[in-house]
Amino acid sequence: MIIHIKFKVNGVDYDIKTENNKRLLDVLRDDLRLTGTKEGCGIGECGACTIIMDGEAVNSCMVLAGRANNTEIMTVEGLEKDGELSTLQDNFVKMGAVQCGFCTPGMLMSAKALLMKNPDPTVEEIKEAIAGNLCRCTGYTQIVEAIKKTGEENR
Amino acid sequence: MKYFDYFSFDTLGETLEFLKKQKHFVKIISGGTDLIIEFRKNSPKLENIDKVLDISRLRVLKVIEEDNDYVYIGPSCTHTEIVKNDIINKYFPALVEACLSIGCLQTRNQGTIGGNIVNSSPSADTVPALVSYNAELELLKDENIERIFKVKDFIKGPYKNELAKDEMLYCIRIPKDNTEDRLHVFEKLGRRNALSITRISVCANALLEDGKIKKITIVPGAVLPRFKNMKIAEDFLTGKKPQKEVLREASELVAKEVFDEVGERWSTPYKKPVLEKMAFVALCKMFKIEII
Repeated sequence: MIIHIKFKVNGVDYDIKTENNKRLLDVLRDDLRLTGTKEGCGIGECGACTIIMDGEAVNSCMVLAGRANNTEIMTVEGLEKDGELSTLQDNFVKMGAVQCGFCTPGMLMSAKALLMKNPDPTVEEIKEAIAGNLCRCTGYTQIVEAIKKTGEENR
Repeated sequence: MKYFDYFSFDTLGETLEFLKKQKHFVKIISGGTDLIIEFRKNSPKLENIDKVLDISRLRVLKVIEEDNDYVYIGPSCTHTEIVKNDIINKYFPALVEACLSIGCLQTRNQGTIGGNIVNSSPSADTVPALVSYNAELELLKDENIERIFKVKDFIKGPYKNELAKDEMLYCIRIPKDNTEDRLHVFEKLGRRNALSITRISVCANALLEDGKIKKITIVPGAVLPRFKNMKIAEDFLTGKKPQKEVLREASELVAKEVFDEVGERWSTPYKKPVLEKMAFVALCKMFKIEII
């Protein structure tokens, strides 16, 4: 069965037809070719596939394609503007918050969702926001620092 | 991914009409945080399911409101929406704690309280809280026919419940009696902080009168096939002053009641003392008694 989905991704309107048993993650990666969003565990435990749907961070591996109809979605590709990294991305680079990079898109989207609601979060608030994002390289310190720095620059 | 057809309607009427016409069980989905994983695993639990009905679009299932007797929670409310709701925070803080203990932020943003109940996992985090508050469920067959169950009677065993194939969960309602004077607690043990599946939890609330326990409810989570009150410990505590030794004895009764029911297993020597300690810690926290 084919379903029809109309939604906005990174500010662009899409009107697509796809198989109804797909996950939003598959739609983003395979139908829209937005491969920045990664699949890690596929069971909602690692956060690599985190995207922002109607303002909330969600794991796109746990969202059915049809659920995305009439929503507004932001993926990691939506962070940069005209080829320039966002402040958040720039701080990830500056603070060494990226090592292998696989968790980075999800980590950035959890951070972005937090900063959208809370422009200058505390370390505790940052830890809570990224608790669902696993990183096996950095030990999290640099990631927390990069998000904290972005918050401070928002002051 | 298992193959299924996907349906979603804009109104409750159309949704119920669709359910009525079905010959086989249709899987109703809202948040999907449990279901989509089961579909991907081709879980035997979903063997005969070939239709999915998405109710997340129905605004009427996302409302939280109150009248003089009850607080009504729409089953499609996400855990995040419950955590942020003023009414729930005012009357049912243990439910807020239970929702906060679920998964990670992403799961709480997506998963719903109705899904947590209907999935009927023995480790469902919101259910001990709902049972401790004596919550009831309104199941709807069509817009005029409803059945009402207490949450503890609705869940019949692990992943089994009373929902009929032409019914859907329409509302969770929690009685408001004495809520403002009650003491509340939710304690959970998992294997790590975020994302953990509950191994053991204890939810309780109590009403004091002249320093003595007038009414108390204790409901453990994840240790029994069905959720139920710890009647023996509750009866033991009623009328007593909440002192440390009394609470310790009550905690032993909680552990005894649970393991008398489930019987001795390989894990009993590990789990029983932990449940006992957790019940003790939970009761001490609730009555604001220092543990050490």
